[in-house]
Amino acid sequence: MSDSFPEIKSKDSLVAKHVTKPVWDKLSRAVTKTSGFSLDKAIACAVQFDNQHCGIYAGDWDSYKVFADVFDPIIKEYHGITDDSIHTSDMDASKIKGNIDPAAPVHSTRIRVGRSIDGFGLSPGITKEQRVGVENLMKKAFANLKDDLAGSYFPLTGMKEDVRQQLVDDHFLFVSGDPNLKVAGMERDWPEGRGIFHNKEKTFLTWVNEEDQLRIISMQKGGDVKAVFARLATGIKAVGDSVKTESGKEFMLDGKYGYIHSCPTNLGTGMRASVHVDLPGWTKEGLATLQARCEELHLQPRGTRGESGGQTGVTYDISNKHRLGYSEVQLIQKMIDGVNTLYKEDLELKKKHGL
Amino acid sequence: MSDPFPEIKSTHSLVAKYVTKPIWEKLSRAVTKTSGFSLAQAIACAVEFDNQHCGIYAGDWDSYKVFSDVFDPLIQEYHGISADSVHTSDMDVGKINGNIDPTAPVHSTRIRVGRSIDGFGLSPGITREQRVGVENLMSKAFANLTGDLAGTYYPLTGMNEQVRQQLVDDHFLFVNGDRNLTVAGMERDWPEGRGIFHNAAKTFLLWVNEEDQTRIISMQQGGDVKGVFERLARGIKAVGDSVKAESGKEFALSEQYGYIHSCPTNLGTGMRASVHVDLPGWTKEGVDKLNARCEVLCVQPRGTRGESGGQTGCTYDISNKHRLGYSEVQLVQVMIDGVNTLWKEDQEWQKKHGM
Repeated sequence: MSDSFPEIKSKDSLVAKHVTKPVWDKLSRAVTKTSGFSLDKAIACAVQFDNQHCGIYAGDWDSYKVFADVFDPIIKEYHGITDDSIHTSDMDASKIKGNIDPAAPVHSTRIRVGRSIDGFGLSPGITKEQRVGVENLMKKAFANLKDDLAGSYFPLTGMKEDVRQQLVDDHFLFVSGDPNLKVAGMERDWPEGRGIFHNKEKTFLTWVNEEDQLRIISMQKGGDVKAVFARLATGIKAVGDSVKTESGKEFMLDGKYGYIHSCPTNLGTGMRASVHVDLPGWTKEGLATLQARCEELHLQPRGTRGESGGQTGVTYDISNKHRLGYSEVQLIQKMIDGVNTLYKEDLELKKKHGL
Repeated sequence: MSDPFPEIKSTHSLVAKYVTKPIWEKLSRAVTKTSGFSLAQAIACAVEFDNQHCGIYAGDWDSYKVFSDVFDPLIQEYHGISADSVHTSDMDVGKINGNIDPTAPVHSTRIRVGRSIDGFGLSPGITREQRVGVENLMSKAFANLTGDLAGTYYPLTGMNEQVRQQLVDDHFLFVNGDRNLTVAGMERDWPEGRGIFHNAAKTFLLWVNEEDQTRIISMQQGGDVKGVFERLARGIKAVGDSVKAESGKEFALSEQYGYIHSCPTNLGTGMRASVHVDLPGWTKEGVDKLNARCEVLCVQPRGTRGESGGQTGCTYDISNKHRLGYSEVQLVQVMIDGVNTLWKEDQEWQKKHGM
């Protein structure tokens, strides 16, 4: 028996490049043990959409191994690492030099990482039972958090609509309906098993069962990146220790690929350190020019209403572009230095455009 | 999650050579779509026994693809083929030169092939439902055989014990309890789904659901290999056509590896063409010397009570050694020529030993 080779609509994607017919013939009849995930599910986005750059997700840690013939070259090419690269994690906030210029018009700072608990599937493949299992484990784990990390878990199921909308508008909570997430299988059984934990101040939060099992988030108004990073490091450790205490299970960590996420582009640190900052000079200069400059600075500009939210006004979400091949400390430093550079250049561009 | 790397007791087996720790890490979390077969199941014999040469079985056609990192080099080494070899089938009895010397003391001639129906698992992995499905399909297919091929199907379940024992003693029927078959998973749910078809003369037979889904057999007293081969070719075609008519399904046939069998050593023609012949001269000369001579002639000597039956007396089962890398015509020719040579030499040994 064989499964017919699909037409991969995203012709310029890494999936189109690395999922050739021979690779398909070899791997299309495999499923993973943890969640029964298959190659066709992994590449669903590249098959259904024509605009994917990467186009593949993992349904569990098994996927990265069973489909290594596809994932290894894609990961290598996307992240620019070599065959013998290994991942180094460094969460020591004291190694950060300087901070964002206090004069820069930074509205807020947010740093997130993804974490996945070994033994459960990842969002595209996780079974319904496993998803509820993750939520139940996390409810117990959250109860052990103390002091400024202590808070409450709010399941999405049964959440009041106006509460949900406010959390979204205030940039705390994820939404559903992203086409990639749907096609990749990450919105199955929505909203069961999904929710958000946060402390009282909403400066330490954890998303449960969105694109990853966990997104651990530290955020606050203003531009004190060092403090946000320090809280994040403490929080990740506390959550990890608590999960270990409650279940004996650890976060999935690979010697080569770092922290395991559903999207191979998030491997490594899984860290996106961002600020919402006004760049009126750059806006006048032009979005394309800003994007090119960000490339050089190893940054990524986004809109302020989520990954697929689009750009309006002069406020940008600026974050580190890389996830793997650098430590967390190195990526934070890039973001700080990059934002400071963009701000300095924004002042010059404002002058240039008479703003 | 990972499955711990097993200790492979058959330290000199092809499995020990090709299932390295990195390969295990890559493939141990995969199962096949058709029957949910895993690498651990595939290599069970090499793990549990210390005397395997090969040590691996496939649970379905998928296994050969999903675990190709193991099967491909193993098949190439065992069969002495190259990575770009293709299989050629030739069942044209008109191409056979000569026949076995009529004066040779041949008791009987038997030629078998294995055939697997695409869409069902292979014996080590086949699910219970699939096994019954194969039996039901074959029962229907047998009813379409005509002329000298027409006969009756006898399920093993409910077979009279004396009838069963007689069929075994007369070299028609398989037995159970073979340690390899048991450990490899081929005796699950025994005897359900197993049986034997044969025509009235017991010259055309078919085993259902033993080591392969079907073993198609042509046999008769005496040494008319050409006659036996002609009937086999006709019978295989008739069975294949009938299966196709009943179900739309074909025999599993790979361009590279020929007819798909559960044991990779049977790939290609899947054909074992054998005679039971007395070699008293060779017996006196010594079984070791006979073994060595057979190697040179590309034939394999066995006892006359099945593959694991052992050697007694001076009657040997002599068959072609190869399965893949040669056509059926070539292998039948090798057997005819080899037996004729052994018979000529046996007469010289008899003289030498004053018999």
